[in-house]
Amino acid sequence: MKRITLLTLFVLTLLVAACAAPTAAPTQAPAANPTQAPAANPTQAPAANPTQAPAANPTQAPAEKVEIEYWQYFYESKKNLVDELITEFEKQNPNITVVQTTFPYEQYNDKVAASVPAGRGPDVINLYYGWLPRYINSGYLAPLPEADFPAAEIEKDFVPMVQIAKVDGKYYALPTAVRNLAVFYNKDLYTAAGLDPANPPKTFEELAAAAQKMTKVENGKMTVAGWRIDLSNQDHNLFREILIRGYGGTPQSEDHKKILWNTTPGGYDAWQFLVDLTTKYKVSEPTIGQDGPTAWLAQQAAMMVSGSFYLGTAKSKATFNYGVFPMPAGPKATANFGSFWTHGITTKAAQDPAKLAASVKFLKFLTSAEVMKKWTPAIGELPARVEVLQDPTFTSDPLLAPFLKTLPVSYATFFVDEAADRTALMNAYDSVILKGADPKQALDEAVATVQKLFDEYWASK
Amino acid sequence: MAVRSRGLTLRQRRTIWAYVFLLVPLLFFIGIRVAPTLFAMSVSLFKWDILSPTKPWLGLENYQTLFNDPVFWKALTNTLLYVILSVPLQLVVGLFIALLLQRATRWKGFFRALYFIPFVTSTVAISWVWRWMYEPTFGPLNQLLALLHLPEQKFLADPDQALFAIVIAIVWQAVGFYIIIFLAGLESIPSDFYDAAKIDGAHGWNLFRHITLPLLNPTIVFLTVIGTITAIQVFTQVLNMSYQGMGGPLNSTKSLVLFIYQQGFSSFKMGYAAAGTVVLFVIILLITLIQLRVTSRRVEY
Repeated sequence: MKRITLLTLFVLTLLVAACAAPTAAPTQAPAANPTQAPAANPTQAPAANPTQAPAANPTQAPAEKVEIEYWQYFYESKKNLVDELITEFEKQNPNITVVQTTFPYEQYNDKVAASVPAGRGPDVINLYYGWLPRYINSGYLAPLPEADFPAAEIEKDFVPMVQIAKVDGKYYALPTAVRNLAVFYNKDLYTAAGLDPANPPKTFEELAAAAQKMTKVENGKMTVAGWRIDLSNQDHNLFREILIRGYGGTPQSEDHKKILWNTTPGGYDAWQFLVDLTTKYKVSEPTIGQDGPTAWLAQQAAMMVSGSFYLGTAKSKATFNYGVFPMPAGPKATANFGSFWTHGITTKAAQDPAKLAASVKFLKFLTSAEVMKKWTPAIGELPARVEVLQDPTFTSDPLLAPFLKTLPVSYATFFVDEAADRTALMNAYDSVILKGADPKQALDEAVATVQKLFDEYWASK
Repeated sequence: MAVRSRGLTLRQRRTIWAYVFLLVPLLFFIGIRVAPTLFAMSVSLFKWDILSPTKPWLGLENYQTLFNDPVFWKALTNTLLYVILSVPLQLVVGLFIALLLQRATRWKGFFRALYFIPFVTSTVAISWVWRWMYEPTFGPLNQLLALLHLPEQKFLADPDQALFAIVIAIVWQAVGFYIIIFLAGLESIPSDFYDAAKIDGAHGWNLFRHITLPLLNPTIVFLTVIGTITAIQVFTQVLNMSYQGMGGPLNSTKSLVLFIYQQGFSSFKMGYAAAGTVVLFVIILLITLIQLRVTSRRVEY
């Protein structure tokens, strides 16, 4: 009995303390930042610079040295290229030192999240465009200075999809490269099924028919999927931007406030087609291969929808003849999904004029035509400037051309919470495929889930 | 003060020194356990978006949202399933193997080490090996089923089977720990009891039911409490065995801790995630109190 009363006492004190704490917490948190940040930086910057700069540049007037930090997620070829680019940039700007830090993709948001309360973090940051609304809304990113990055110029020089980074009339980020999707296909399996690999499908109907011919079933078990559908990879994008638009609809209202998947014309038809690939045409099974790309590489899938960013992996890992063909046309229109990783300047950097100036310079450098010309061959992503896109070395490349072809009709989806949006569609798909749920009802539920996220987001603006 | 302290008895002075020495670990404990717990509790009362400099006060709104969130309830039900399935299984299998091992006279150490190895192996590695064994197209389990002319299963890809599949992997790994603790418990039972009972004509099941089991009671209580707390916090296995660490298919394997992790570190809703941890804290506290009361009856002979 005594133990119990002691424990209740303990719990009671915990609760009392918990209720008392809130008054203390908010006053503490903001206080921690301003004191920490300046303390951390001055000690770092001089330590790194004096040894490097004077040696490299004895003749130039000793201007103030600035060190800025650049963060991106770890992708080997990107990291190496940016290291090279930084060396080049530092040669052009001897007073600026750029420190690159990378984190594994899975931990990227966690690391950013952990750096904020500590008052640390990058000055220039590479973010997935779909995360922008959340980062902008929380005040993490500063708008790009209009004088250095005039909106009119951006809209003239860059591909249209970058306009998704414009919030309340201001640009918050600019990319070096953009990506869109196409169909990766195994030419050997095409030939084996009696199809002509030089003449790939042009519509989704033809694509489904070709997939049927290549699907192999042994003892009632699928061993090769003609077209592996994997919503956790690219096929949620296939539904939202490619199929819905292909069937004559639009996935979101113009102001990005309403999800229209189930109300737009052709919305249900697009969804039914996606579901039918597994239930009616039987060209895919959710269990084949670990996931879409793995199945395709293991020749357990003849086709998959993936992005230009996958070209590098395909080149190094595919042990068969493969090719890429442009996104086929829907019954009403041809559309594609576009996306990009984009560079923004943090609010932290914007508070220090020297760092802001250095960050702007670095950002201008990263989004210049010269950098793009190096980026595309090294990474496989497409240049974000229209002028570079028309470079004949890219337009004549058999693997890049299929992507470039649909770039003008590539749409970037406005995401409030990309992971939650994708999960909602994955769950809707799984409940139809694995549980036999009614497709329309499953889609309605997904729309309700995502609409709720959107309502919360817009209410918090 | 100095004058008065000289007036203390030896016993009093010893007590004071005991508390002085206790103070160091106490401060440490308060610093890394109690204070963060209280901080997490306070976070749960705010709209604590980790990227945002403003953290508006919400009161109990996070809890309200939490109790209206179907995914939270699904995660809670799953977590309870993990406990209800894994703890008894671990106890029964652990005790069974411990009894067998106790009888093994040859290669005793070898067998004990063998069964203990999974427990000291990385959980992430174990989870992935099990994931590959469950793989539906070329995984060895389905190949075995095909060999035996039994219907092949989807295992982790089937929302009705996935949780059970993960439980099996959890039990397989944890059972080594149960065996070692049970063996220690079994060896502490004096053999006189068995000899006396045998003279009275008891054997087999009777010996087990009336001597072994009651005298193992403290061991069973300990293992049940530890096992329950571990199972409530299940995370690593779900993260690594469900596709892309989502707790799917259809949230069928999502545990409470994974739910909290996703809210906090993927959606950045720290306040909401903290509300989840407070609920988890209360549940663990309640279960521990109940278990201690119900199962701590001492059996003495």
